[in-house]
Amino acid sequence: MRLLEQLEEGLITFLMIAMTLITFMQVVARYGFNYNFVWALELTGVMFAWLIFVGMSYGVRVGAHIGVDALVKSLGNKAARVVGSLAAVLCVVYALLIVFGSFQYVKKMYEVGILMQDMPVQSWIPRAILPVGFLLLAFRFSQVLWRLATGQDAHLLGDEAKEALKLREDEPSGEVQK
Amino acid sequence: MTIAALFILLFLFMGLGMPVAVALGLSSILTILMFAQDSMASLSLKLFETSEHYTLLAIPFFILGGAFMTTGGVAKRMIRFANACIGHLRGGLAMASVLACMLFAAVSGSSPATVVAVGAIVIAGMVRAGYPQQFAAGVICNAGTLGILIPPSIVMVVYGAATETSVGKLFMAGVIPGLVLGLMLMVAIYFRARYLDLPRQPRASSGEIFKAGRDSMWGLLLIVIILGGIYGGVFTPTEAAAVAAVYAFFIAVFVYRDIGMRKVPHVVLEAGKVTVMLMFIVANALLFAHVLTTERIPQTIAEAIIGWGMEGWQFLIVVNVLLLIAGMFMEPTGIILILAPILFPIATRLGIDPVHLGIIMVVNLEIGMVTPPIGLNLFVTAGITKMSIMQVAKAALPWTMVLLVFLVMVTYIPAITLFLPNLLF
Repeated sequence: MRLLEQLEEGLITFLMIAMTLITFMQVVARYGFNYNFVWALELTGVMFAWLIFVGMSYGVRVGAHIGVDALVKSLGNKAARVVGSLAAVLCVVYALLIVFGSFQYVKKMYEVGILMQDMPVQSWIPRAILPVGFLLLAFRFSQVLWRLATGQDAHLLGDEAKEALKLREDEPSGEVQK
Repeated sequence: MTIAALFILLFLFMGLGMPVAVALGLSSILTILMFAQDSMASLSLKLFETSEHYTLLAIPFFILGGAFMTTGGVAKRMIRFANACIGHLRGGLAMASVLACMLFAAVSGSSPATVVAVGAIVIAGMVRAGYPQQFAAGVICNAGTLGILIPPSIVMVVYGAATETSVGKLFMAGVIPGLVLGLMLMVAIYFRARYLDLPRQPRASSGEIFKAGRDSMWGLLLIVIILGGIYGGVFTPTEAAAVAAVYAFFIAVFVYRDIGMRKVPHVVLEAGKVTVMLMFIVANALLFAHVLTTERIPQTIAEAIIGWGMEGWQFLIVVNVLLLIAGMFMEPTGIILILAPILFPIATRLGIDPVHLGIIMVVNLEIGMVTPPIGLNLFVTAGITKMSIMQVAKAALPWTMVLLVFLVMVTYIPAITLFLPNLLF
């Protein structure tokens, strides 16, 4: 489990850096060397997709996703847990529906066997992240559901104010210079 | 019927406390399964296609650049510069805070990030200097919204992607409104400060102004690179964002040395997290918009509105009221992706410039961020000041009035937005 988590975090960090550098290099190559990487655009596109679809389940784990919890918070403890569980069930259903749909789609692509436009890669391969990513998402949502149902502390949503403030904790607090 | 099902499901799911992204996605999928012939396979393909919008690729880069700028001491340097410039006026500390928000907005594309970066320092500073806390919190909560109006702006990138409007033009169009709104807030502060008899700061020497200015120049060069690069045709907005991210990294790590090399992966991962959260909403909102368009809902509404003989200025009232209400309950990116496909065709038919409409939407969403129950800036300000969300909302209200006056100006004086892009492009 720990391995999966490290893999997720490593992959997200790597994809962010790689996308930025490839796009940056594209500019440098164009002006510095009058050269254009044909594959750059397609590759960053694929990386972007992987970032999103690997990252969404990571987002559930770390509570990054935002939503409206004003209503649920106004309920009593028990009622909030029931509503929360229902919401979590629906989230699992959502993820599984897309696992099902994207699996069909990827299977079809695999059978047809088209190559990508600029890279000599079967085009089903980058798209395989869809079923995989949404399966992971279903897994993470079921974890939340399990914890909600068994009465452990769990939240479907993140606390965005706390998130934003965390950025500040990393540095010494500043004085206003006069 | 379809549209009713779509929106009822959306509100139901959101009310249950599901993540916005999932609520958008599930309501779209269920509606399609009930009313249309699309297969689940083609819907999944729609989600994947999000990554193929080249414009949207600018979002992770702007977030990454912003992350380096926020974690670094960039905000601190800008605050020092702003204080040196106008701190000696009555209410100067508050006016300088607005100026600092404007400067920081020029390196960051997000409003809550602006409130956190600037507010965490200046609110405490103002209270120490004898300002009431509500005053300080209210000013910053509102001034922080400039983050999405002054370029770069993530919300503008999303609008550009949703309506195929030039992001470069949108950025340019945000410059003058951003300056005007900043000035309006400062003037309001000045009068309020005279009434409350708030303190002044000692006047800074011109040497201090120069030193502080030079010190914050590295950060401010970022906006010059972005706007200059896009305007000069050197690179696309997406490339500009990538260059800005690399530049911000370089400045934070090597020039200002605020972040050590070892902390870089951590900053990148945090930026990745924000990106994923936002892009997951974008992907599902695009699915939602896809349902709207396949059901020809925007066209139907457009026909109806044209049929009523509604004129441009009347339509803009409807737009503003709709967006203000939506902004109270939802997060800006989702609103843009859902409402832009509906409003855009109507506006075009009525002869409203797409860039103008974009800025009107952005200003409305700024106000949405400071109005309860859901307003990111309120949450963040409450977090900084340890006030309750309702206290912050009350403190913010007088300054939100300034934003509302500004909204009316932007809506009915197109020149404020269109002057600069028309001059340049």
